[in-house]
Amino acid sequence: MKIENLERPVCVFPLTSNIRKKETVAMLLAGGQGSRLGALTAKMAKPAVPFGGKYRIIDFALSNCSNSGIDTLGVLTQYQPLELNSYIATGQPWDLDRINGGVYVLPPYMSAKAGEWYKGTANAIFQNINFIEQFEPEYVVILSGDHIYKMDYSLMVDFHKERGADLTIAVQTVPWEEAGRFGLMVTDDNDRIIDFEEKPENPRSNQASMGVYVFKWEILRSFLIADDADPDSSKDFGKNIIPAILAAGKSIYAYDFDGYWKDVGTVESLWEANMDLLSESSDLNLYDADWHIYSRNPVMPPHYAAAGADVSDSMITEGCIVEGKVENSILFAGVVISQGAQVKNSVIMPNTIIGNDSHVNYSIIAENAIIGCDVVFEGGSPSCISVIGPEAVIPDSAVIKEGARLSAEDAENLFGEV
Amino acid sequence: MKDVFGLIISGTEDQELRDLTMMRSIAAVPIAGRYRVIDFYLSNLVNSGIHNVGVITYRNYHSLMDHISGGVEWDLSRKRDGLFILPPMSQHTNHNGFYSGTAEAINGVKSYISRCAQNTCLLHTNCRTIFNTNYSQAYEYHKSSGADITMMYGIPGNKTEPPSKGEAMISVDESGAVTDVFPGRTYKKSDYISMDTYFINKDLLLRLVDDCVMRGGTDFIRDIIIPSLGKLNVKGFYYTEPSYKIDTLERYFKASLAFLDTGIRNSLIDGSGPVYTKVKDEVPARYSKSSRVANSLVSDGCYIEGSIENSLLFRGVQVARGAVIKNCIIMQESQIQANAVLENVILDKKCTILRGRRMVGTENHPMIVAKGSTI
Repeated sequence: MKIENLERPVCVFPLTSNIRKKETVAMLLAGGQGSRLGALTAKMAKPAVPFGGKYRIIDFALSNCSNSGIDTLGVLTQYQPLELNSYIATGQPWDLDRINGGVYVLPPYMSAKAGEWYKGTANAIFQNINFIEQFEPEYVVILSGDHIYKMDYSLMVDFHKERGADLTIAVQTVPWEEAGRFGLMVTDDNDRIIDFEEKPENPRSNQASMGVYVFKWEILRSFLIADDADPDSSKDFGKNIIPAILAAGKSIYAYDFDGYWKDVGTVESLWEANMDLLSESSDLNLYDADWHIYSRNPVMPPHYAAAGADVSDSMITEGCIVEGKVENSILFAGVVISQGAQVKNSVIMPNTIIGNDSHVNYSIIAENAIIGCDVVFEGGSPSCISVIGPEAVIPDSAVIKEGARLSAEDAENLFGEV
Repeated sequence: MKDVFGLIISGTEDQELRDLTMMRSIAAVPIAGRYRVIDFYLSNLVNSGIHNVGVITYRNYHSLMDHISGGVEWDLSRKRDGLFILPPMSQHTNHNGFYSGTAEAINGVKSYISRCAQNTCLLHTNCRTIFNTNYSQAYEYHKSSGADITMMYGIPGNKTEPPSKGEAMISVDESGAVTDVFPGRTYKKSDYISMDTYFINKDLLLRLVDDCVMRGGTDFIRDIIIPSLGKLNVKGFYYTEPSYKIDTLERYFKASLAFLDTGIRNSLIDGSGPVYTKVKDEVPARYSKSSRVANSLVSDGCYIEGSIENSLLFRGVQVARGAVIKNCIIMQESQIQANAVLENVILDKKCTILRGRRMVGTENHPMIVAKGSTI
């Protein structure tokens, strides 16, 4: 017998267990620091930041995948990955613990020839070409883990297939006066993208990229390899890959998405997105039974509102104890609002305690913080939100200046050890 | 606790709580705003380090199966041991697949018991007590006292009414030996009430059950424990932490309202470890501008525009503007429409109270509305 006649049996013992072909694989970029969130992201990546009373920002992208029927995805982590790794773990809360596929956390790794950090969004995918190849996908969906939105990616993949596109970019129509903050797509009458501008001074379009891409895998793969060979490239999708694909004359389409979508990159936008949940007219409906947003649930009893509690226009989750006043605010699991305390227009993250008679207004207070008694938060407005970092301790009778940004260390330096 | 497995009989004929157990076994009765009774039993076992648990199902166990399914939430979805659902075995039963008594139920799952790698059985013959414990102390006592059988007993916090019909009372001498077990309604000799919880050697259990069934016995207490008094070394372990019985509607109501007391709630929900339950991914509870809330437990998924006081709201309850709820237990996904008034009412799951309706029960006799009703 000669070697060309040797045939494998139909059922091959797999080296990596249970890898099967998948039409679509998603890659979720979750390595960003989100430095504009300051103390909130000192110890965790931006996608892990708590949102909306019981979620984390990444829950939206993970739940979207699960609800869209995309059951195979890689989550690319780099900056402060501990919190995200343990949060995602097996993927069970999102129904992503699958025998074939499921969720994989993909940190940077060493290989025989080299080993390096992800140098950019494109490089992160480039370094995981082998991961994607195992599933022999037709399409790869690139997502970012720091947006709040509900989107059926399968509809976008259908659109991509119908148009026979090499790349489809989800776009959202933004007000012209804000357009200059985004990467903008200039399209022809058939939704085909003919030009692309990154944060231009004089926008020619108001179709902003949402950072959600569907690629034909063979196209993406070849452009990633070419881009990696270019020493001058900054290895970024927006700056390098998409312009290169456009320049090569490939077919790129814009997929218009008109649902709620928010980039929560700044403290004010994070606060605003939280407050959107309290608005009667918000487009972000979390009560949709067909599109649950899943999260890893804490094991806690229902929240308790004491005899003297006064709660209005707020969201409160399990494990909270409310003795004081809560107005137009969002309380995460295990928050305690002591007697006489008043919390208004604020977001209080898990296990934080607000002491007696303290007045909190226009703030985001991170997890495990302790605000003493009679603490006063001065002023504040939707464009001037104060932030207290995780585990910060604010002593009794302290005064927090309008728009203050205090990490645990800042608080200790400012007020001394408590 | 490595050598202990748990066995739970998830219900028997609960005549006195039939309003809540018509469509479900007592183990699946909703309690404390987000739990089912069996959550306390499973969590106690798991928090004590017991990871092999058999649950014997009984009559109408759909809702129980739906709740515990694979046991993931209690960390009982294991490769080795874990959760075993034990439905009735027909060749052992006479009544169309229903057990006529607890001993017969155990007889039906002998093959599971003999297969268990652990030698001591922690047996719950009913699911009608709410308590939060770590069994290690009771197990130590069982081992060190050389008992053949150790029964846990206590004085429940809501024991204000006379004992109920099916309840076993026990007398214990100064050495801790159980001297008598008698039905609660007949006469009063002691304050101690059995918690339906026993430590017993696996082989002894199998032998006693065989003997009992051979002689036509069906009930664990009447046909196994009582005949064993004086013959076997039967000890009592006094449980001093808070516990609440829910075997009658009045007791269920009082036990539920007891959770509004922060001290009691803390000891029952987090005393010896957390109580795990099925995750439903509900949105946090939402209060509107017009809402008022005092001394109440409110779960995720609730939407509150009206006023609630001294009440427990389970997941996904809606209270419309102008509605007033006082001393009530409102189970999952019920809807209270505008300006309805409810006082001392237990609403089972998925009830709808129409606009402006008024229902008032009394503290001792709460009104109860069956699952899915529209009033």
